[in-house]
Amino acid sequence: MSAAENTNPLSVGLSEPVLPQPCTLVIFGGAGDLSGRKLLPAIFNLGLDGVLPANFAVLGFSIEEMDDAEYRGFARRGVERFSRQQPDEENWPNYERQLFYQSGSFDDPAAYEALKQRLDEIEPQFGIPGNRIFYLAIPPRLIGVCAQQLKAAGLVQDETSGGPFSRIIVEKPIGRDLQSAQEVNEILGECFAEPQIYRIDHYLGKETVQNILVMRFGNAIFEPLWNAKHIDHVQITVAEDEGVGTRAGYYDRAGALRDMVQNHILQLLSLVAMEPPWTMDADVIRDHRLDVLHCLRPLNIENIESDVVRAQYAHGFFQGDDVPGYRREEDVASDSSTETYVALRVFIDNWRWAGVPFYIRTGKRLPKRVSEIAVQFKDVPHILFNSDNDHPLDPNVLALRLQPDEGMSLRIATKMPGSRVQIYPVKMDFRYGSTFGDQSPEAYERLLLDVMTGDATLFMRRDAVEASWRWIQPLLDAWDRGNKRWLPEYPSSTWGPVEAERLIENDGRRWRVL
Amino acid sequence: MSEPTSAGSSTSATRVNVGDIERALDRLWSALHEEEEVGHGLTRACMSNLIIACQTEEQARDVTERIPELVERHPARVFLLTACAPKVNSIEAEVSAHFRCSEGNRQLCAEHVDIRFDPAVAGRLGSVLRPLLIGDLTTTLWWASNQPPPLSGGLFDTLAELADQVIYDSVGWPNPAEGVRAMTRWVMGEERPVFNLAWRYLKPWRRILAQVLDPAVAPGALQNIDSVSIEHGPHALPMAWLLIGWLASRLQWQPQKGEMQSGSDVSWAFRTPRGDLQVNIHRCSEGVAQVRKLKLAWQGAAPGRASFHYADDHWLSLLPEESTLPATSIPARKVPLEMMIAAQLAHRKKDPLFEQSIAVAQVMSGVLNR
Repeated sequence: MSAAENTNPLSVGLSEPVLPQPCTLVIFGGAGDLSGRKLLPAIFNLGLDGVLPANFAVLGFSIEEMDDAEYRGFARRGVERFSRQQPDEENWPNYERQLFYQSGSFDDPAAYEALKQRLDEIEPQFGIPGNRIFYLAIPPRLIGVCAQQLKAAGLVQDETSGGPFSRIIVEKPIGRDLQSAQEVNEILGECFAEPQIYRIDHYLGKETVQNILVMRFGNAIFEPLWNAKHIDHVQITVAEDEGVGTRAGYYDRAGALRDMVQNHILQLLSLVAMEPPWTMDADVIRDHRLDVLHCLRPLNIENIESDVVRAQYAHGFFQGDDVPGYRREEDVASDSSTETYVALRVFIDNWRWAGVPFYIRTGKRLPKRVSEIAVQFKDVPHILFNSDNDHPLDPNVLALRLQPDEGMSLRIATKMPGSRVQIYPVKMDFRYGSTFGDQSPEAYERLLLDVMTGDATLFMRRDAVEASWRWIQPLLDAWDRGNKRWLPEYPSSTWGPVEAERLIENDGRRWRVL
Repeated sequence: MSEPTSAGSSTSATRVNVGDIERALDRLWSALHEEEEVGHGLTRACMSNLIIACQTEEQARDVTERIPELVERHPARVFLLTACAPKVNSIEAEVSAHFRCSEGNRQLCAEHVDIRFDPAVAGRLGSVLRPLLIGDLTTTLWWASNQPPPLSGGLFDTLAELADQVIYDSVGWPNPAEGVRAMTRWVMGEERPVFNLAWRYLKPWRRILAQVLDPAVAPGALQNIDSVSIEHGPHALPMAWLLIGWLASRLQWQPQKGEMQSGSDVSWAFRTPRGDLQVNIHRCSEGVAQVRKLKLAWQGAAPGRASFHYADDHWLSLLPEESTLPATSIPARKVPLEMMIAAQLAHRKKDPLFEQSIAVAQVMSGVLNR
């Protein structure tokens, strides 16, 4: 076929930025928790919204023995519980006819031969020209073996061949330190070219996170203020109200730093702090995010003491119920030194952010589930309305709420009606849900669609993953050396240890009450 | 004061003098504030001014029912104009508000101004509306009448002059051929974005055709199409016409001649880069006003055929027994009109694909019965 015959003039203008291509989504761990809670409902919603390719199928692949019918039942239960749209007699048959299941062991070459054979059977039924996306919804330790087995079974197409595409999606965490991340990336790189690898961070799929770029670079009023001259400090909070729950096995080996800071929070930080990109091209945006990671002030033995607090939750009450401390949780060692809370003071050593602290806190068993980025502007001069040092004006705060109730608010000072000049802070709120109705797709929906269209903007590149580990590594090393040291504790359903309060209050600032 | 509706709540309508509309809206705003509990606030988000033109009471009733859902998705100041005032030479107005509640806070979604006028004084409406439009926001005219806008006298011109964009629907026009000719001439001369809802309703058709005939799925099919036939419901000829206009503009088909063969059939001959192509459009005597079925065939190295139809009102499917391609379906649930308008309001750019499609549609009208 000529090049002209390979193009599809009918796809122009149908979808932004391009039409998702016909493909099969192979979910490793297809019968697992992530698949049932997030992936299968996301695909269902994409289908109902009419944005999936017409030629599309899903093949679940897991160790569990199951046939197609049982898998469809598994999917239905997941969709009924977790989907934003509900299945019914009209929409379900069209969805479930695309669902298939293949059982097998991830390290068994014969399983991959069977997988290949199954794909060869399914794809002609749906007119799918061999495009495949492999979603590794599996424990991190299995990423390498799956990638290698896929390659060995001939299931990975050469990126440059011009034929059907092969793409792989890997979930965080990529490794548990710099060395293991490099090892995982090395294996992935041997099996797939970098443009074929999509390292997913579902935080980047959230509407408000995507709106950070729009807000910063689509509005003339913010960017001129977005620097050390006008911004006093930035607070990033990712708070969870739940305890470790059923994830104790994973979490006790990871902790809050690895689970949240190394990936989600550093990605948020880089979006807030990046320089303006000159195009929306995926690699340009990712280059600019990476620049921020390169500018993070290195952690060392001196500043770790003063700039980092870690802690564990202790016994307390959650919504009126007694809840155990972390070391009394099931599957957690009674002498565990894993942190369930971490607070950091971070500096970005470049011209834009020189001297501006970024305060980060994340933890489990905090009073509520809330994620927010708050930009606090500097005080107005202490004259006119701000001349009373005993009652300073509240500074302006621009808060970007990531969850729940995605949106943003701006705190401004305003005069109370009356003959006296009385200033009062007013919060102007914008919520996606109440302004646009409940139209926001789930993060996984957006990200899956991006993979089908080949848009890697919201995915992490190898160099960024390794840069974030490189920055974290001295902290991991320091904690390893002091492994058995006493950890501060905070009662469950409080905002963290007193040490974290001191970390910010020593600078004359306070954590926001959320 | 407020009455619940399916989407948030609305205040009851208050009759006001035309010159007092803005003050009446202020009073509404204040009254809603006073209803708030201490510590809770009333906020307003507003994205557009929306002028809606209806020519009958029935159209106005239908639109009125849709406004709460519409403004939930696209908060706006809404002016509903109906050409049916009870008194000669009169313009009468009522104001109300729609709001929604969330966690104890209320958010105003729309200030709704209902204006009824004697068509004889339509020329005065500009002076009523102009001071009421909120500055800094886009103004959209939704022409909700089933008359082609350019053929409806001066009202359209008066209202279009106030608008940054115009939304209309070509489905239901009493004389489709005349309407298509008049509207395409008007649209082609416009600098502003103009949207035809029929174009949006075609999106599932465009999507399934693009996906199923993609070169990766059906190699060579797009370049070698040699026949197309369409069946549509009553009043949907402009939609079928537009669909062919889109195919022709994308695939470089040139209209050669067209013929009205009977009251229910029209055909066109096209020249394509690979040869001749015949298009037949047939109107079914009953059913909903939309394109119901499309069949096409192609030659070349791998000849084939495909037939698409609405399996029910919610799925657009490939008919396996009439096709050489694998069966597939895509969701094509008819989006309620208010959702369609809300989605369209958010698009503020001209749509070059639509304009290319109606440009071909205009050429098709030029060769009809030649």
